[in-house]
Amino acid sequence: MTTAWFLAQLTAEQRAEIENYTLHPSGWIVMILSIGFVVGLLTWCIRRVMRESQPEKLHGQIDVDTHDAEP
Amino acid sequence: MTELPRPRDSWGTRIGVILAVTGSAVGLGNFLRFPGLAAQYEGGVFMIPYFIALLVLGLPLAWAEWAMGRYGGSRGFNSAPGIYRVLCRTRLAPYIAFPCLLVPVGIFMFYVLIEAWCLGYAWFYLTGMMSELGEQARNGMENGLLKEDVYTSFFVKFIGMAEDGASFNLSRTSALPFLAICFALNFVTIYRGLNRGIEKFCLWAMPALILCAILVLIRVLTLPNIDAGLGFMWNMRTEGESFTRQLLNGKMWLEATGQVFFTLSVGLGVIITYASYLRRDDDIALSSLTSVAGNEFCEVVLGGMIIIPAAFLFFGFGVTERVGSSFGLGFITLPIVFEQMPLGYMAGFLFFILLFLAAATSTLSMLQPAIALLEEGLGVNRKASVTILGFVTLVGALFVLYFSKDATALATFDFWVGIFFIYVIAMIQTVIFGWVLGVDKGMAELDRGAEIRVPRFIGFVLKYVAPLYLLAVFVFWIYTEIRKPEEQNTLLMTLRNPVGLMSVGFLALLAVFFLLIIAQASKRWQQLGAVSDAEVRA
Repeated sequence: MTTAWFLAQLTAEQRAEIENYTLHPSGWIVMILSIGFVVGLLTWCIRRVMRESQPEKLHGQIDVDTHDAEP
Repeated sequence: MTELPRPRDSWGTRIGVILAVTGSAVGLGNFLRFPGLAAQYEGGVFMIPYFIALLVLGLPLAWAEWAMGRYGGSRGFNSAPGIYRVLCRTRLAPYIAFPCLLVPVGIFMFYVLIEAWCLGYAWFYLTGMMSELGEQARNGMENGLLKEDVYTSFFVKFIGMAEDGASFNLSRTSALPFLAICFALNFVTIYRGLNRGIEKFCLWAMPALILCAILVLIRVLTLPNIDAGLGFMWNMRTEGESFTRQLLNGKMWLEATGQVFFTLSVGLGVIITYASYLRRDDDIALSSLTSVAGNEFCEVVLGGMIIIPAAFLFFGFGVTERVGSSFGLGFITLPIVFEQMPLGYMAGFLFFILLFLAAATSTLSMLQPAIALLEEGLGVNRKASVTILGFVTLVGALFVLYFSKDATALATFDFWVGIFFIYVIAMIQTVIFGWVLGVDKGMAELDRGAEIRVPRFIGFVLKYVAPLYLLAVFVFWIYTEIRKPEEQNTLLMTLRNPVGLMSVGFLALLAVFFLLIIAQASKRWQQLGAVSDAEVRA
């Protein structure tokens, strides 16, 4: 299956329509902003979820409250 | 503390609940309706109202539903009537929640059929039947037939659109065996419970769905001239004054809001039930945001990059005439595209498997609200509740399958439970969150155990903006429906067509069935002291 085979499947009118059309700068901007926003948001969320879902971190000596200071 | 005497289900993992909610939201709309709308409304311009509606309406509504669900769950209730009872503290409140049962169960009755169509098409691609159809289409073209006619006639025959009862056969192209498989899959999974059934299924089905979508996406993005297809999908096709006119197009704003609203599954009665199984201090703010982001990934990134760019390469600007109907786009236009595409049959198989998985993760979620009510309202075990629900939904699905002529029963079900009552539930829930529970209490619920801080203005949005925004969209939708020409007017069809009337009658019976169960449940909760106890805790 080659590109030539693929293009041969299209009518001359369709080929002309497609060849004269392309992704404009406005399209690039909308596409990058939309996809970037969604992918960025999902990545941030997954990172947060993974970080928070990890088993509790080991506490250092300084964090351990022995309650021996209480009256 | 009085606990209702029944086994309480719960989620196993946090990832599991996020994937289950995302799976419930991701459906055919993500891959067919969203790109169709974007193509219809000048590509890039559509994204402006879409993202505004997502941030102003969709996300706040999702947060509110999660918060109300966990609020009710931590007071011992998992069903929407029980949750409404503790939220509103009135005896009438559980009855207001009947659409939360009617909507998911009613949608299940026709959505399981659509799921069966997707599975059927995947099977036809795998067994080479679609390649035979492609051959027929090419031969037909030599005899002056349009390719579209061959694919349309195949689809019409498959779903039995020509006459009522046409689907009740066991021919090679019957939908009946696929419906049986989908039904069995749904009920076996739901019988296994929340953790061992729904969660386990979503844990592999969602990654599998995304993998299928990525493989199809790679195929589409490596097509020659794909930048033209991407241009058609994402370019702002109007400039200057016409851009402003397009941006001020009220119908586009309505459609974008509707799409956001339906894609997130808010107002379906599912999220409120799912969230009720969380523990009191589990995070809901980040989990809800992650589910929304996961759904948007499937919609904007995968849905937006596959269908329309590929279809444009084969139909040029003529593709805009084919995006009006999601079924036409998915089951007629796309198979023509796949037929002409190198490695197209493999892409077709993967695409319909992905649609099947998207539908399956949605239908599974639609059964849980009713299961929760049967368990906690009647005190029956899971086996009994699954059996009762299995019988009710089987009758409904066979009703929709039998009255298949022009898909009248399906369209009527979709109109009432797939659109009308979803708006009703969403409006009721925003009022309960903003005005009955109160913004302060609601936001405090959202904040408990939260791993992110939800901005304070969300409270204001939920109290004032969301109810008005929803009401405006609802009124505008009714107005457009009433003004539609007779042949497209579902409201008129419901009143004039005998099948439409019977479908409404069926849904009314279903509503009565749920109201009777709610009445029984209310009595039981009162007798057990579950409600007064929950009120004390509230």
